[in-house]
Amino acid sequence: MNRYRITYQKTGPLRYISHLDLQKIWIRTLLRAKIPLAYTQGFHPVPKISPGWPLALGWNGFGEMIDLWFDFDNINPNYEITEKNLSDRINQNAPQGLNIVNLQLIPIYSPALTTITQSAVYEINFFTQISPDELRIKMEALFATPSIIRSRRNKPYDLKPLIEEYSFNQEQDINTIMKIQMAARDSAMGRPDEVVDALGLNFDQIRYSRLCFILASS
Amino acid sequence: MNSKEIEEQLDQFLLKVQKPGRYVGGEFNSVHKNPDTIKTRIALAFPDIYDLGVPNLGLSIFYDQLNQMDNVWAERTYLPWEDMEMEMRNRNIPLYTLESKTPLDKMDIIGITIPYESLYTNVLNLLDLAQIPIFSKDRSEGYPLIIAGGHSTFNPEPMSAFIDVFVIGEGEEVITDIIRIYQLWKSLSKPKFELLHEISQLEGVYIPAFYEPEYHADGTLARLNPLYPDVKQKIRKRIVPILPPPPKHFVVPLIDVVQNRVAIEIMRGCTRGCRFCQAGFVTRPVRERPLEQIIESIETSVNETGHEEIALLSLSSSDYTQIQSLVSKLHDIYNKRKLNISLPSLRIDTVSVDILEQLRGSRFSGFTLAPEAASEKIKHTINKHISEDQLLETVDMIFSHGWQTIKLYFMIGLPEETLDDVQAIADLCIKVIKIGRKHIGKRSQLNLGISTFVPKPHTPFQWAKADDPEKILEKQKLLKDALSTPGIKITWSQSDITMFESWSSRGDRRQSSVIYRAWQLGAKFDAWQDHFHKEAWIQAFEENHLDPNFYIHRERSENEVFPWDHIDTGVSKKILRKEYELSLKGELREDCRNGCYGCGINQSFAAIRAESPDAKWFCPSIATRHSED
Repeated sequence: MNRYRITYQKTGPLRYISHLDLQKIWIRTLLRAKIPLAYTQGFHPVPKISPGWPLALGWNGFGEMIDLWFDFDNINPNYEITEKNLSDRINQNAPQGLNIVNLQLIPIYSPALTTITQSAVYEINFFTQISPDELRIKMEALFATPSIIRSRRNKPYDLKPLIEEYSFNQEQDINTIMKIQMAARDSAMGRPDEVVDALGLNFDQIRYSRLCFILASS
Repeated sequence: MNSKEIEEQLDQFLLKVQKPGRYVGGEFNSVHKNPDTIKTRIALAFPDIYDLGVPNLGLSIFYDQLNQMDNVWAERTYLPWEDMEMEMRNRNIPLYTLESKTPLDKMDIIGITIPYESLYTNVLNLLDLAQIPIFSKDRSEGYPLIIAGGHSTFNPEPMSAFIDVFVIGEGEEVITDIIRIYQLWKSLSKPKFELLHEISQLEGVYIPAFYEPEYHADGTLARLNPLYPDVKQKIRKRIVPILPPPPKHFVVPLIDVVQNRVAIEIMRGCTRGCRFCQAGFVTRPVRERPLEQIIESIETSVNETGHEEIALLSLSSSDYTQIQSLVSKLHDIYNKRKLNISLPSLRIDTVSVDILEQLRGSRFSGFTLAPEAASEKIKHTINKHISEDQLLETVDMIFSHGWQTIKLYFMIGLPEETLDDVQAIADLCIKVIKIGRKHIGKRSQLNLGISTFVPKPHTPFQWAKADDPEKILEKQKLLKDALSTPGIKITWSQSDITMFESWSSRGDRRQSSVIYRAWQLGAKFDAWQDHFHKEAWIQAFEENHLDPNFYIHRERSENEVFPWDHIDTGVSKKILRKEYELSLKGELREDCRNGCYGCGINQSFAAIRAESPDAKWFCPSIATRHSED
C-alpha cells in the first residue's frame, strides 16, 4: 500500500459538483485509470480516500488536496510507477475540470490532511463592480472594529481572528481582486464570503477561488 | 443568446437551483468537436430531467454511434427541473446543449426519445423552452428538423401535430439514412417539403403531415388518407437483422442519477407472447447478442466508465440461450472485482435463484419476480402461466438461501377479472410471507407492486376496455384489507395516472390539441405522481369536445379501424385478434419458439432476413412454416 498526497484543480463544470459527488468521481477516475485503490478492511470494504476540507459549491479550486491509498500489488506489472506516469494517467481519465498539479508519496501513517491544514488562501474577484481603492477603504474600516460578529447556524462567532492576511490588486489585474488568507482548522473555519457579506457587498457577480492550503510543517 | 452568453448567465444563478451539476455538462466521455468541421449538428433530447435521461440506453446508443461520424456532432439535452426552468424563463435563456451550451434552435436536427406517454407534455415544454414553435406546421424553413422515436411512438397519432418525423421501430440504421438525406438536402438548399418528402420514402419513417384522418359519426376513425400519391399507406417498423455491437463509450455523470450503471442489451424481442405486454409484440423478432460480444463489452465499458454496476437487459433474461454460461463466465471474471451485475426479468424458477446467487454482489439484497396473476383463469387470460407450486418453490429457495426481501409484481383490472381473481392474489401473498416467516421469521419482507392494467396498441388487448375506476378501488381495497399484516408492503399505481395512460396510449390525432391545451394549463412532468394535473387534462378534453371515456372505457368492435393501424409492427392484426379471442376463451398459447403460429413477423421481414443469413431469429425458416389460419 502506498499513500499519495495529491494537489489538484477543481474548475469549470466541476465547480458545481458537491464534495460527496467529487469523491465518487475520484473513485471512478482511478478505476478508469486502472490504478488500484486500497480498500478498507471489514464487511463492506470501501476505497481508502481522504479529502481535504470541502470547497463551497460554485468556487474554483486551484490547490485542492486529497490523500489516496494505492494498492500497487494489483497493478499491471508492465506499468512503470513514477509520479509523472501516475498523474498523467489520472489526468487522462479525469472529467473536464479535474486536473492533478502535484502528486507526492507520503508516509502511510502520517496525519490526515484536515488535521494538519492550518489556513487557506482565497482570491475574490469583484470584476469591475467596485474599485480597488474603495474596497481597501471598506476593508480597513471593517478591520478597525474590535470584533466582527457573524452568525453561523444561529451561533455567533467572531470573524476577525479568522482573517490572517489580505492584499489587493496586482498591477496587471483589470478587475478588482482581493487575496485573503483565512484559518482553515476544524475549530476555526474562515469563509471569504462571510467577509464579503460583512463588507456589505452584494454584487451579482463575485468569483471565489481557493488558491491553496497552508499545512502545518510536519 | 449565444453559448458564451448562456455560460455567463449560468454562472450568475446556478447556485440558486437544486443539483446544478445537471446543467453544466463536462462529463467523462461527453464528446466535444470543433463546430467548424461539422456538417450536421444534432441534439439528442430526453424529455425529463437529467437524472432520468442520462441512464437511457436508447440515447446512449445514438450518442456513441452518431459521434463516430466525422462530420456529425451529437450533443445532449434534458429538461430542467422546475426551479431551473423558472430561472431560465425569467432570464430568457433558451434550452441549450450540455456540451457546447448552444441553443437548441441552432441545431440541424433534434432527436427526442419518447419511451412512455407521460412525457408528452414534457416534449411540448422542451420545444417551448428551446424557443422553437411547438406545432410542426408553425416551424418554417430555418428551424431544426424534429424527430421522435421510442416505444410510445408505435402510436404516433397523439403527438402528430408536434413532430416532423417519427422513427418507427429500431433507429440504428434509419438515423444515418435520415442524416444522409438531410445533408444532401441542405447542400442543395431546397424547401423543407422536399426534405420531408425524401425522408418519407425511407422504411420505418412516418411523416404525420402527409396524412389526414377521416372519422365516422360515432367518433371512431374511418381511415387515414395519404395526401400524396407516392406516400406509403402503411408504415412498417424498421429493424436491424443482427444487433450491432453495444455502445463503447457511455457518458459518466458527475452527479448521482437514478441508475449509476452501464446497461447492456443481451437480447431484443421476446417469444413468450404475454398478451398485455406491448414490448413483447413490438420488438419481435428475437435477436441475441453473441456471448463473447457481451463479455467483451462489459469489460470495455467497465474500464471506460469506472462504473461498479452492470445491468444486462432483455425482456426475458432466462430465454437467452446461453444464460448459464454467460453467468458462470461473469462469475469467474468478476467475482474478485467489486462489480455488481444485475439481471432483471428472470423467469420464476429455482434456476433463476442459482443464477442470481452467482451474481450476488455485496449490495444485493432483494429478489424481484413478476407473476402478474394468481388465479388460473387470469393466468390463461394474459397467457402468462406460472404454476403456484413453481412460484412457491422459488420463494422457498429464495428465503431459505438467506434473502430477506422478495418483491412481487401483480396486475389488476385485467379483462374478465372478478373479485375472486383478486382474492387469489391475496391468498398467494399470504402463502409467500408464511414461507418467509418459516425460514427467517419476522425479518422476512414481501414488497408488492400492484399495477393497474392499461390496454396497449399492437397487443391482443387493444380491443379491450380499461376497468372502471370504482371497480379498481374495490379491488385495491380487497387487497389492502386482506394483506394488512406485518412484513407486507404494497405500492399501487395511482388511478389518475392509469387513466392518463389509458387515453393517451390509444389516442388519435385529435388528442394533439388536448395535449397542447393541457400543457398550456400547466400539465408537465405527468410521470411524477405529485405533479399530475388531472384538472388540466379534464378541462383540455372538455374544451376540445372529446370524452376521455371514449378512449378508456370503450370495448372496440372487431372491425374498428384503430388510429395506429397504419403502423405495421410486422405482427398482423388478424393474429392479435385471434389472440384476444383465445384470451376470452381462457386458452393458453405456448412460447412461439417451440412452435410458430404465424404472427407475421417472419414474412414481413423475410427480405431483410434473406440478406443476413447468419441472423438467428428463433423463427422457422419461411419454407417450413406451418400456419394455422
